[in-house]
Amino acid sequence: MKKTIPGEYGRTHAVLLPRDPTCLFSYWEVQPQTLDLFRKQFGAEVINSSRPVLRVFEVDQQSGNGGRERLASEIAVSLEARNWYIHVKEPGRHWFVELGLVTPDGRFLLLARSNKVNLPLGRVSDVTDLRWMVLKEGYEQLLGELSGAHRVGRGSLEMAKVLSHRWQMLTGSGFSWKKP
Amino acid sequence: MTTGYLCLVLHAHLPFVRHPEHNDFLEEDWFYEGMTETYLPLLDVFERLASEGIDFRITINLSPTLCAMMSDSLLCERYRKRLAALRALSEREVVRTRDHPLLNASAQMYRAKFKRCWELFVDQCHGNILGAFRKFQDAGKIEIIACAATHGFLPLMLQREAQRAQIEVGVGEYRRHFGRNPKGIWLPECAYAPGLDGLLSEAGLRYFFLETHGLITGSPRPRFGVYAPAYCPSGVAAFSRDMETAHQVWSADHGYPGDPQYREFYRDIGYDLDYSEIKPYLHEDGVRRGVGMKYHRVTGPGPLSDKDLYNPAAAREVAARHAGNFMFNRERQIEHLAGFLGRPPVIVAMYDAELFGHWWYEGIDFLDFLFRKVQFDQNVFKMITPSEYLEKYPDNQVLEPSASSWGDKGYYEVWLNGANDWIYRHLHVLEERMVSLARRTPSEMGLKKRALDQAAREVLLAQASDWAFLMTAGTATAYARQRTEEHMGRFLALDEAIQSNRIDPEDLRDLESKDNIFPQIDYRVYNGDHPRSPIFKKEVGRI
Repeated sequence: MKKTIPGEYGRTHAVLLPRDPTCLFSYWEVQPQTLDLFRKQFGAEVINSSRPVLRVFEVDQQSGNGGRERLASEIAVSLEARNWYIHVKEPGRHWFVELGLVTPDGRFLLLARSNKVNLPLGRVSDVTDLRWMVLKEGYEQLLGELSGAHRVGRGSLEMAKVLSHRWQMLTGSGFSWKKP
Repeated sequence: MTTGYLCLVLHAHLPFVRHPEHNDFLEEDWFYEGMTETYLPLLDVFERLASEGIDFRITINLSPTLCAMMSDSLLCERYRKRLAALRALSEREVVRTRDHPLLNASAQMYRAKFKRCWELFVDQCHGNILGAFRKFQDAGKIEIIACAATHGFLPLMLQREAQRAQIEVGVGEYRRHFGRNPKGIWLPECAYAPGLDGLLSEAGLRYFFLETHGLITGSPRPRFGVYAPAYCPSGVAAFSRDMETAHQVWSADHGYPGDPQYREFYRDIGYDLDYSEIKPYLHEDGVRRGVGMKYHRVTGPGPLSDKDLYNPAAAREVAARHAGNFMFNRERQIEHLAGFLGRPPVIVAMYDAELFGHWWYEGIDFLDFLFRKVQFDQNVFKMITPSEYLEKYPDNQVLEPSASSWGDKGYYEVWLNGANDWIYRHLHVLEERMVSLARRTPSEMGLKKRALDQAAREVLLAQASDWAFLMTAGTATAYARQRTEEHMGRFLALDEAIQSNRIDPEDLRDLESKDNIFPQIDYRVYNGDHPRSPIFKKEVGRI
C-alpha cells in the first residue's frame, strides 16, 4: 500500500525555512490555474513578458515599530526552479518572502507570500540583563576560546567525513557503512 | 572538596531499520553491529563497575527508534542468530590462528567478547536489553533521557503540532520502556529553535542539551558561558556542550581514536580471509563486507595492505593512558574555570554512543578506565547527571538560547542543502494533512482509528533526521531516499483511504506489520488539544 509521491500537490504557495544566520531557503509551487487567472486578469502575455522574482522582506520586530516590513532585496528567479537559497547581508532578524511577477511597466503581481522566519544572530548577544555583571576579566575569553564556540559541529558528520576520506584514501572507492 | 563536575552524555540512536519482508537485509547490520560493539559492551562495563562498588554517573539517551529495535522480537531473534554465527566464526579463528601469537591474541579477544555478549543478551537479559539499562537507572547510576519519536529535525517542521507529536510520542515511549517520566530529553541533532522549550515544558521535561554556541549566543549573554546551565523562558534548563572535551575525541588530527595502536576500522577478515572460509558468514549476496573481526591496527596513514597487526593488550594500555589524559585535562580545566567563575563549573561532554566501541573500538575500555580513575585517582571533580546538578544548583540565569544544532557549521545546513532539500515540500504536506486528519476525526474507533494511527507512524518515520543526514553524508543515500519516499507514499495512500472511507483491512495489516513501531501510538497526539492522561498530569505536577 503506497502511492508515488507527486511532484506537485495542486496549490500555489511559498514556504520559507531558516538555514543559518545569513541563509534562508524557500520552496514554492505555482499551479497552472493561478497563471491562467493572471492571464485573464492582466492579459494573455503577462506571464511571458514579466520577470518572476522573490522579494525578500525584513520585519522590524523592535518595539514601537509594530512589525514594519522593509523590502531588503529582489531576486530574479525562474518559477520552474521551485526553490531558492537566499543569502541575506545581516545575520539574525525576521524575514518573509513574496513570490511574484514584475510586469514590464514595473507592477508587482503577487503569486504567494511565505511564512515568517527568524534567523539566529550567530554572535554573542549585546543584551546584558539587570543581573548581569561584566566584572570578570577575560569574560570574552570565557565565551570564545574557553568554550570553543568557534569549533562547532564536532560530531557524527565529521566522523563520517573522516572515515569516508580515510576509506577513499585507502581503497580509492566509496565506503558502504555509515551511521553511527 | 569538589571543585566542579563532569557530565558525560552519550546519545545512542539508530534509525528504525526492520525488514521482515526480507530474510537478510544489509542495513539491519547497523543495529547488530551496534549491539555487539557498543550497547552490550556498555552494559558489560556498567555491570563490572557496579559489582566492584564504583560510583559512576553517566547520562544516556536511548532513542525511541533504538528502543523499538531493542525490544522487537524479530530483530532480537535475528541478532541472536548473528551472534551465534560470530561465536562460531571466532572459535574457528582461534584454531586457524593458533600458530601465530598476535593474530591468536586478537581471535581470542573476539571469542571472549562475543561469548560475553551472548551471556549478557541471551542468558542474563533473555533478549531484554532495555530491562538491564532500566536496572542501572533504578539504581541511580545512569540517567536515561528521552528523545523525539523518530529523531525528527524539529526546527524544520512547520506545524507546532508536528513538533509536539515527535516529543510526546518520544516521551510516551520512554514511559512505556522505563516505567517513569523522563527528566530530560536529547533534542535530535541538538537542533534547537526558540520556542521549542515550551513544548518540552508541556511534556514535563526539565532539561535538554545544546551545542556550545546555542548558549553562548543566547540572549542575554550567559554569565557562566557553557559551564552552567541556563533556564529558557519556559523554565526548562539548557545544558550546553563543552568543546574542549569534544575536540579531544573528535579531532581528525589529534583525537584519541586515531592512535596508531588502536584497531583499524576498515581492515576486516570479511575481506582478508579465503572466500570459501568467510562466505558462510557474509550476507546472502555473497559480497565481501566487514564481519566485525579485525586483526590490524591504525598504524599510520599508509594503505590498508601496510597495516601492522593489532595487539589487544597494547591497545588497552593506550586506552588507559588516554583516559588518564582526559581526566588530567578535566582537572586542570575545572580548576581554572572554578577560579574564574566563582562557582563550580559543570563540563558537559556529549558524544554519539556508537563512537565508543563501534568506530573507536577501544572507546569502551576508555570509558571503563575513566570511571575508575575519576573515583580513585583524583578529587578535583565528580561525575554528575543533569538532574543531580539541578538539585544542587537550582539558581541559574534565565535566557533565550539561540537556534543551533551540533551539525557541521552549527546550524541546519546538514539537514537542508541541495542533497536533501527536496524532502521538505513533501514532509510539510504530511504534517499538515496529519494534523488536519486528527482535527477532523477526533474520536475514531476500530479500523479507521488503526488507519489513522498507522498514518501517524508513517509521518514520524518519514521525518527521521537520519535520512537527510545520510543524503548529505553521501553514504547509504539510495536507502535513505527509498525510506523517505516509502513512508511518504504510505502516508499518502492511507490519507486517501481514510478520506474516501475505503480502508482495505489487508493492506492496513500489511503496513502495521512492516512499520510496527510505537504500538501504543494515538493519532490524536496530532490534535492540538490532545488530552494527556491523568497519571501524566500528576507526575508532571510532582516534578
